[in-house]
Amino acid sequence: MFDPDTKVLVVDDFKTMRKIVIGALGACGLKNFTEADDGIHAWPLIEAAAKEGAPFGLVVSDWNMPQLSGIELLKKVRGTESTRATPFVLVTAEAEQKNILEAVQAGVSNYVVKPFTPATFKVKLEQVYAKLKK
Amino acid sequence: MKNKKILVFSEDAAVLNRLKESLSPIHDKVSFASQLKDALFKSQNEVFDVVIMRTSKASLQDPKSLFGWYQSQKTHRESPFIVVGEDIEDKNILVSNDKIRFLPLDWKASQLFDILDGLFFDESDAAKKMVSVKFVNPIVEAVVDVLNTMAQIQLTRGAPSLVDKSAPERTRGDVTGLISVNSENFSGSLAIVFKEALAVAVYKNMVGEEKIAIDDDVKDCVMEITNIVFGNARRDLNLLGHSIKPARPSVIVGKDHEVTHSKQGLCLHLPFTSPHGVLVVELLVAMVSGSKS
Repeated sequence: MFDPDTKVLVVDDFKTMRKIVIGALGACGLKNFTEADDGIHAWPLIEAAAKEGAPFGLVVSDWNMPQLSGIELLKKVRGTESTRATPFVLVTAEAEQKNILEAVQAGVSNYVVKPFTPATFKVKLEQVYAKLKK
Repeated sequence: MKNKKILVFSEDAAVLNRLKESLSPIHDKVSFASQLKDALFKSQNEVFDVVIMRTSKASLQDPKSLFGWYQSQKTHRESPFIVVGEDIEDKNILVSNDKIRFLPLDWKASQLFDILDGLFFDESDAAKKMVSVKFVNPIVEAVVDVLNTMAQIQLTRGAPSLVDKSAPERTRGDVTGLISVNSENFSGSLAIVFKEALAVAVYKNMVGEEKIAIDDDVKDCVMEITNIVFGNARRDLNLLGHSIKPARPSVIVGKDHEVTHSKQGLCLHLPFTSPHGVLVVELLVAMVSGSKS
């Protein structure tokens, strides 16, 4: 599983969901969290962390955000050399087939559909970690 | 459509019987005539909303035909006709007449009902049918699933009803999540109405923090629940062929506030009970003018 000190960025415009995601990640042993309330605020944090040589080891982002959506943020991450390999999980209630396809094509590491339980979240995270270690 | 007055006239007994079989179980205002004189007699006493006819006359416009008689009467000439059989010699002339529809002799019941639906399409009926049949299950399932999975709160479903939101009696709550439900064919809103005790319990179970009253955190939580319910219901409804557009939730707070939707009209009212009090979900959908589904 991810090292407990892995830097994690949690992006969601709803504080409640950021708390729930942080709670679920905490239950998986993680403890080093940064929060952003929109993709537009998350992207400079991701860029700066990579530039400083202390990149985020995991980004967990909502899809539907007002200024920069999760899928747009994912495309930025995958389209930038210094952040391309960052594990990226999308959490969303927009679970239509076309959304999942778009996320997979954009290079998402995993996809969590709301509503979810902490146990479901843990399984998804373990899958991300397993993929990373291959 | 059920309240429309229909005259069925056919000199062909087999056709008359088939029409009786199709219409009698669902329409209680149908008159049947097997002879022209009966059909004329019934028509002199009543103006029918539609006439369904199988005629032996070669020409519909023959003044001695039922259609010919209707056209000669100021009070009757607006009644639409459904003509059974296409062996009419002036069909090519009449096919462009918007008061006449043709039904093949080997018609299926669904073809007849489609024509009647088309003639008597009513926006309020369509909205009623839509909110009551198509929307109930995806919304109920989403609400129950979200509260159960995210907050471990079991909801018990009450009886759904249609309420008139222009009436003075309105649903009241302490915190309400609201979101637009729009597509090319309809527009409306979904409201999830909480009493304080339930909203606080949901927040506690979801986030693990105690609250004694509704604050910004609880408001945020109600918006997120509304967002997830909408996202799940939207996915299922779009699988049924709707194209509901993405939307963002808002929240209304105020002790015992009245729930108001952006439009007036018929509203699907779904009550639930839980160990922490009642929850009400309301969906108001208005048809966009000119659409049918």
